Amino acid sequence: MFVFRGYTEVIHMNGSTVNRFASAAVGTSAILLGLRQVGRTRVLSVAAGTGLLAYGALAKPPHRQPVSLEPLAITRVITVGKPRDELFRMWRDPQVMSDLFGDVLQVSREGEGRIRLHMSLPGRREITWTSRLVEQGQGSSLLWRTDPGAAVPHEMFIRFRDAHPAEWGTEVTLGISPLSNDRVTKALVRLTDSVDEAMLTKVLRRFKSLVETGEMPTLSHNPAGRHRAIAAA
Amino acid sequence: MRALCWNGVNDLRVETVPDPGIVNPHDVILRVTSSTTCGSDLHFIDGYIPTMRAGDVIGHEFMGEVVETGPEVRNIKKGDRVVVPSFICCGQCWFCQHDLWSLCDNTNPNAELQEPLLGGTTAGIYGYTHAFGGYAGAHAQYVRVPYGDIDCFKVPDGLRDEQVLFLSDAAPTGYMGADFCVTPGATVAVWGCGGVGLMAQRSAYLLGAERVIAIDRFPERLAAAREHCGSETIDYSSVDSVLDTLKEMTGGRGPDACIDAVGMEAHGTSLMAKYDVVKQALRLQTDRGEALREAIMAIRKGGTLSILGVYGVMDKFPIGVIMNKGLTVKTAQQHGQKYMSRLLDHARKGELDASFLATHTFSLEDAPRGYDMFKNKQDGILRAVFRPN
Repeated sequence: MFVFRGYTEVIHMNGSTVNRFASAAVGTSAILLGLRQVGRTRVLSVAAGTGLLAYGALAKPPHRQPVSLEPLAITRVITVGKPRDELFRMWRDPQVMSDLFGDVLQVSREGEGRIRLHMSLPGRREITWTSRLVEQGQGSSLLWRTDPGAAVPHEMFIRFRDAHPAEWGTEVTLGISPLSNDRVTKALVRLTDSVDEAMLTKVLRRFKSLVETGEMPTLSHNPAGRHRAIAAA
Repeated sequence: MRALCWNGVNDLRVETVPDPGIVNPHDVILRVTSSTTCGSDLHFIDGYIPTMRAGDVIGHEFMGEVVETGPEVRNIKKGDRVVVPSFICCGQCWFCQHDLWSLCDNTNPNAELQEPLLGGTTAGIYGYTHAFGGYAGAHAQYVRVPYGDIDCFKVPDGLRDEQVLFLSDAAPTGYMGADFCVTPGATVAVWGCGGVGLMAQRSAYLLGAERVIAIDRFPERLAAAREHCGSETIDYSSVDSVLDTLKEMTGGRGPDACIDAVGMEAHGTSLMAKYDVVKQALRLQTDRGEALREAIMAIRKGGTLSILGVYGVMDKFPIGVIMNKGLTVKTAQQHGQKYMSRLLDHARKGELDASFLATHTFSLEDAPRGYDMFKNKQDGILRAVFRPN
């Protein structure tokens, strides 16, 4: 299993709608006016106008919130010896998800495309939230996003890719990404990333065992001398 | 049930613990008829391998009778007498399918503990630390065996427990070590005359070696190597130099193949060995690697080194010697499921009789004394065998 922290940064030409229209209008005017000029003034006006027109036409619209913040994503990847379609189908079953997350997280269906997640925290505290399936690439990826009001707004995603050579099966990447990059969120991610990585690792390993063998390795009811001491306490 | 528990460094006690039960559909429950000590147990008993927890049931080399089977078990049934390799394997993952059984991807429920240390994971083992799975061990009246169809091997009629018990671990480990490096007519040197080393020596002959040279310091172990395996022997404590002695015995070339069956608690007479003792005592390193270094130095140019000893993260490992002499190094935890059928066949034909290892037998209640004798190599003990029922 490999660890991959998504620190890739993508530079976009971002701009507001007003800026883009204004740039396009000014650019067009500059080109038209420039074409009436001669010599150096004509070249400069047409060049500046072309630049402004290009910005107006090509700049990406601003992101709609919420949006996943890949630089803060925590991902783990594992290779599973089964075909991609089979794995994709299994991950759509909330019961399978609940089995995989085990005692960390209970997952149940909450209507079409929506799941309810329940987590017990130390000190008998509990949190519950719902997430909605917002993207699915047929046989290749699934992405759930928390509904408004979640204590920790985030996305969870899983991606499937054919392994090479094919006898290895499918490479499966599981990740979580917060929906904010403010200081508090960054600090929280740094504080919990090792726990999150361990949980993702465990979930992926359980998934691999389940699909390859029909069961997950477990230590439940594992005999040990300490059980008696614990019971006495 | 009663079971032998590790409660701290050099603190073993027999306690009453809960019985195991069927948890997963491929599980089998065994009533343990025989189990035995292994030299690798001493590493965590002495505190050199981390992730033990007080109360852990230990023991990974065993056999028994099937008393219960899970709903998905097809080939094994109640009443079968079986021997079980010490590594738990699923039989379905890429590694099992490629005969790399101890690397099974699906049987270590604590993989996240092991991966940061090894950069990968091994299969789970019975009673051998939580990083190696945390499964309850077999020095107990009963043991749960996951994937019973894959990991339980029926014992042919006519073989006694003592002839089969060591096929659980010592014999396949030794056989694998010989399989890694022996070519027909080869001269093979084996460091260590414990259970694994002796099995490696016998296996080397079975696989075509012409000559086997065993190195140890205990007279009774060297005698066992001569009498039961047909090996020539070197008592390293009574020669000036093992390297010179081996050169002399091999016309100055060195052995074609060397097998290290000692591991991280090697003894030696060199200055480097003393340095290891101090550094390990101060917990500045995990290993005393004298035997392994000696094997690397002794082997002929272009030879093959087979490492069976258990190591942590060893320093002073002479990789430059390996590179300049063009050595091939092969190593693994034992792939018992690969070799078991062959070993049972050898045992049935009388070609590999490991029963001479069972020098001392104890009840389970007496197991702490058995381990103490085994650790301190008292009374000519090779292996302590326990009868839990």
